[in-house]
Amino acid sequence: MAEAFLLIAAATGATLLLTVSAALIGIVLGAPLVLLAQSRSAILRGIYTVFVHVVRGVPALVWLFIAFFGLAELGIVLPALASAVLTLGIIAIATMAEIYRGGLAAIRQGQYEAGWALSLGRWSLAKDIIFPQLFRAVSPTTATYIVGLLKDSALASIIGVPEIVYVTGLEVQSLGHGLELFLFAGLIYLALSIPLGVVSRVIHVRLTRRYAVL
Amino acid sequence: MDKRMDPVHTDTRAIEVEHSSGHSFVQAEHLVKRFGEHRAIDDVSLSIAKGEVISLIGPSGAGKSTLLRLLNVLETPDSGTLRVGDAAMTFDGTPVKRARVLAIRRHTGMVFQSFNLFPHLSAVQNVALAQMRVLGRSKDEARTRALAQLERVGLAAKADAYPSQCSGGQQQRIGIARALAMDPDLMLFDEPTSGLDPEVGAEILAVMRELAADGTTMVMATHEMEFARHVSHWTCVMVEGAVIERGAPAQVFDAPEHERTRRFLSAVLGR
Ligand SMILES: Nc1ncnc2c1ncn2[C@@H]1O[C@H](COP(=O)(O)OP(=O)(O)OP(=O)(O)O)[C@@H](O)[C@H]1O
Ligand SMILES: [Mg+2]
Repeated sequence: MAEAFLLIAAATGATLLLTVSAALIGIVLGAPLVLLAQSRSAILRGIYTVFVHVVRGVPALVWLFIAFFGLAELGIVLPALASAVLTLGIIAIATMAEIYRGGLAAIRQGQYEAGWALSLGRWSLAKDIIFPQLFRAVSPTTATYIVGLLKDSALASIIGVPEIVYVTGLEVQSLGHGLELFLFAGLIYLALSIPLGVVSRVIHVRLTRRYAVL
Repeated sequence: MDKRMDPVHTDTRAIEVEHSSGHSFVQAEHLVKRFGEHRAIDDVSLSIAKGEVISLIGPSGAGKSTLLRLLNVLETPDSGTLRVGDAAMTFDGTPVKRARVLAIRRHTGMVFQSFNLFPHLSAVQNVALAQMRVLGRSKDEARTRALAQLERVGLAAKADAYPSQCSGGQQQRIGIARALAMDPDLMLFDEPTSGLDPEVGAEILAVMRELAADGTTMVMATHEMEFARHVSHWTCVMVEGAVIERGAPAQVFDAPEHERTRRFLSAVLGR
């Protein structure tokens, strides 16, 4: 039993790896994607809308199976972990782009106009005016999404990624004690998500202490 | 005789040009701005000399805000010409050159009805930012000048406050300081008091009155008829995108020529 707890705890690394890489992919690549949504070209905006709806309109589990089993049939064999990172990463890109789009929409046109009227350059307008407000606007939603991602990473157990749920399942199969071991797994998720929530709230409060957010 | 070779003709033109540039600091000619089929600005020409204060009055939707926004090219006119100081542009529907637009904007400062302060920056940072980014002033110099401008609008004590910690009237004064800190030659005010209580609005009007007394060139869209009458040198009455009447305030307010002006004034002044 003690060994089972240790093995499950050790699987936290894979869970975190999966969560953090998918989150980073989404946070970084969601930004260029949202530029499509802001584009003047109706075609580019159309591409954005289709991408986001298709990616988010299909259950993550289905995408996971497509990436793992489907691609293999086409001769593209990805390791389970890579399939999971790819799948959750692409979903994260679409989700973060939507979060950014919401944040941008909350910044009033007057902010841009004030910047233009002051002759601020494009770069300064983005860096000094828009980005700080966007960051403050999206940070709570992003933190909530990352907690969701942490929980969604458990889906990867189905294709055999040795993260918390997968390892717990293996141990329960060989040792029994399903109640204790899965409760333990649940506690690990709580131990990860609660601090994330607290930290994000503290950061948000510090950032916005002195002004009412939008 | 070929006119291009006619020295007399050339001379006349040269004199005209010199005369008009010596006389007017802002010269807008035949500006037209359409939104879809609607002509928000319909062939407006305007010339403003240094130190003049122009008030734009007229019913809602007449195009006062749009005209102000054409003067710093926040909206691009569909046609017409615009010169502010030495920066001139001709509009013909083709894409505008960014450098030209910036040259015009460098001469102008704008104060918005809804303030449009940067909410994540303190008052002094609001006033200092563009000085550093656009004029290349050092952080210290920008701060010193920002404090001086805040002092000028009576807000030295609020320098480190954020916009949300300031009343509407204070926010608008920060907005004025922010524009003034760029040393504009032309200040554009778009109903700077209409979002405020009358009493608070009076604070803003007092600041504007001082600016006018200091010789600041100003164009203001306003519903404050008494203020327009006492502070401005010229009043333009706009209706449906056109300036239908212009003149000294005393003349426009007391002896309007245009029937539409009379109707507008009797509606707003209740007489
Ligand atoms: N961005 C825009 N898109 C479409 N129509 C616009 C836009 N801006 C202004 N208009 C229209 O142009 C006309 C002039 O508007 P403008 O805001 O300049 O009037 P105004 O004289 O400032 O009115 P108010 O006293 O209410 O501020 C209005 O009919 C308005 O609906
Ligand atoms: Mg207006």
